[in-house]
Amino acid sequence: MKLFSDGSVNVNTGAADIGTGTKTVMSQVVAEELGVPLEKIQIEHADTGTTQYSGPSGGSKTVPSDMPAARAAAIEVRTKLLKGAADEMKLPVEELALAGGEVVSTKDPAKKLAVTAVPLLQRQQVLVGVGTRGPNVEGKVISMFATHFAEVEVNTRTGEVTVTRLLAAQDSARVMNRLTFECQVQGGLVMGLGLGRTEERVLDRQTGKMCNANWHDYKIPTALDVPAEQKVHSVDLVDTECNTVGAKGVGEPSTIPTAAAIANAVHDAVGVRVPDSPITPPRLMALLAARGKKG
Amino acid sequence: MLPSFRYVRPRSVAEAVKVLSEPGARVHAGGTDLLGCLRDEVFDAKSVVSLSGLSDLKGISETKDGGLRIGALVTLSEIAWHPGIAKGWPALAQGAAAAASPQLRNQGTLGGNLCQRPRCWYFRGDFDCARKGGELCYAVEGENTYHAIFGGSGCFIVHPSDTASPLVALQATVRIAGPKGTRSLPVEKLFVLPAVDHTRETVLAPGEIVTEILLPPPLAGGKGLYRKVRARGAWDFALGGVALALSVKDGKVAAARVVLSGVAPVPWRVPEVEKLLVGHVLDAKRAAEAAELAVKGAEPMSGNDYKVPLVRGAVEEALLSLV
Ligand SMILES: Cc1cc2nc3c(=O)[nH]c(=O)nc-3n(C[C@H](O)[C@H](O)[C@H](O)COP(=O)(O)OP(=O)(O)OC[C@H]3O[C@@H](n4cnc5c(N)ncnc54)[C@H](O)[C@@H]3O)c2cc1C
Ligand code: SF4
Repeated sequence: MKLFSDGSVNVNTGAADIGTGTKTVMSQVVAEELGVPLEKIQIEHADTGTTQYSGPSGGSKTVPSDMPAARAAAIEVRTKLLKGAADEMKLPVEELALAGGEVVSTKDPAKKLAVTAVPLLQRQQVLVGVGTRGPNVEGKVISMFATHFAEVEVNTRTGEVTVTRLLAAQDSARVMNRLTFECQVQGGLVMGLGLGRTEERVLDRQTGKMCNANWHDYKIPTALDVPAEQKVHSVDLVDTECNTVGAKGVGEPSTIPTAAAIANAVHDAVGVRVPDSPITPPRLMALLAARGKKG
Repeated sequence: MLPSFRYVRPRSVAEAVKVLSEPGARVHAGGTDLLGCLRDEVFDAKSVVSLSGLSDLKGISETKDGGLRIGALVTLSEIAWHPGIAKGWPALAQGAAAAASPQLRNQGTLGGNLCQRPRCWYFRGDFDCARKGGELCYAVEGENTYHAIFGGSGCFIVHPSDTASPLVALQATVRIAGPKGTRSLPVEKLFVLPAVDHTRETVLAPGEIVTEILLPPPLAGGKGLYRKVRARGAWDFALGGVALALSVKDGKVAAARVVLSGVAPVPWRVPEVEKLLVGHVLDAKRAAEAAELAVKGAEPMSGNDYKVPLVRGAVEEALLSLV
């Protein structure tokens, strides 16, 4: 991480942002630590040629793994900066805080110095900090939790299933950003709905070739398949031990329970257990008809 | 990959017919189906003949007898949104609205919808199946969830069109122009069963094109609808469906046409069901009997016996909604 003499920050990180809000959340962490406005932070990321190492985007671990590293880097920069400011202001470093682009004395707010005026920074033009993420606290298991609720309507004449409502409740510990959290869980619900209702790979049993390797026969849900009412609730539990940002991750739990919730709702509606996904009219109709025969 | 072809845009039907009589010529109306087939190398083209310059093939107009003339180039969206069609021939409006997706309906034409190639994934995929001139129908021993339960032999496609069954139910006529002049056929006679020829879906000879579709005037006391069952809310072909055109007089069914979709290589008319309905009050009991009769004689394949109860259910529901 680099703090430049104009007060702007560059973060160089391997973490990717595959639409998940990594850059947004990382900027928030850096802004909190360095007291600089969000628009002064540039994230340079996910380029194997020029950026630092990070693991892949998976395991719902970008926030819990990469944000503590960003925080550690910011703390290193901050420590150097405050030390430089303390020398200039002739105050003990413990007395100083960063806010709004200024170094301020916590005892006497009148005593302050703009970050860009710290001589150390002016001299060097840049302060560099490097942060890494260490291992988890020993003996502690860190898990996210999620539960989904589905409401469905089943046409027992045709096997058509309409998902009318979905609700997700999720424990990700600290929610770093309400908007990116909600969007991630909404997206997870739709992805889970695809597994539960429409998406399926079909292989020809004679040749092993895929029959539906195109976007028409492989059916992702359309806007008409997603329920109009789809709500996301954060449980907002506090976990100060999981890592230095207190967030456990979001992505995967938001898509794991959906299909099962839909299958349970179908069972609740018509009393039939559908053991395979997705629950399509062909599959459900066959089961409903078989039950009809048995009486 | 798209093959290289000559692109022709004739200015008259006569000119179109002439260039289309040459070997390897393909009709291009909206192109939504043709381009997919060419890109996926389902078949080849030496020349692609666009109909877009033929103003005679456009527009919807009333005929003298109170019926309707729909040009072959009229889009599915135009049909779906046309207030006169929704009122007088609701099965057709609903069929057009149920097809594909909004973008495809804006571009796809009625003529193209009737003449589109089948959607069997072996036909569309990398399989040299019987319909493409090969020896095997891969669907017989393979993945046949979406295939026919009626009318298959040697090939078991279902006809993909959502407008064909409504047009058959509405007793529409198709007008055809070709090298030997023009001719008219009931839409019902446009399609070919595999037992007759499993390599083509229509009776159109080389050089022939559909120019317009004619609808007879609505029946007095007429009621109708198209019910389509599909696996997702839009952009999906029928798993099964039914087009109904009934007329009711003094509380009894005076005339009935019942045509299934998504179950056979052609729009599948069920005359026995029509007979069962005519002359009687349409009530829940008759609807259930009619639905049962509609699937009588079905011959499901290894993976599509669900279609029998599904179609029965759709027919019963459709009839009950007209009670
Ligand atoms: C992803 C997808 C989903 C779809 N889902 C549905 C669906 O659910 N229900 C449904 O009914 N349809 C569906 N369709 C088909 C779609 O409606 C058709 O592609 C469209 O109606 C064809 O119209 P077009 O004008 O684009 O035809 P084109 O692609 O131009 O032509 C289609 C075929 O018909 C021939 N042809 C066209 N016009 C004439 C004519 N006047 N005379 C003789 N031959 C002609 C062409 O040579 C070509 O072989 C779907 C298509 C796609 C691509
Ligand atoms: S059903 Fe027809 S198109 Fe499909 S594999 Fe068999 S022969 Fe080919």
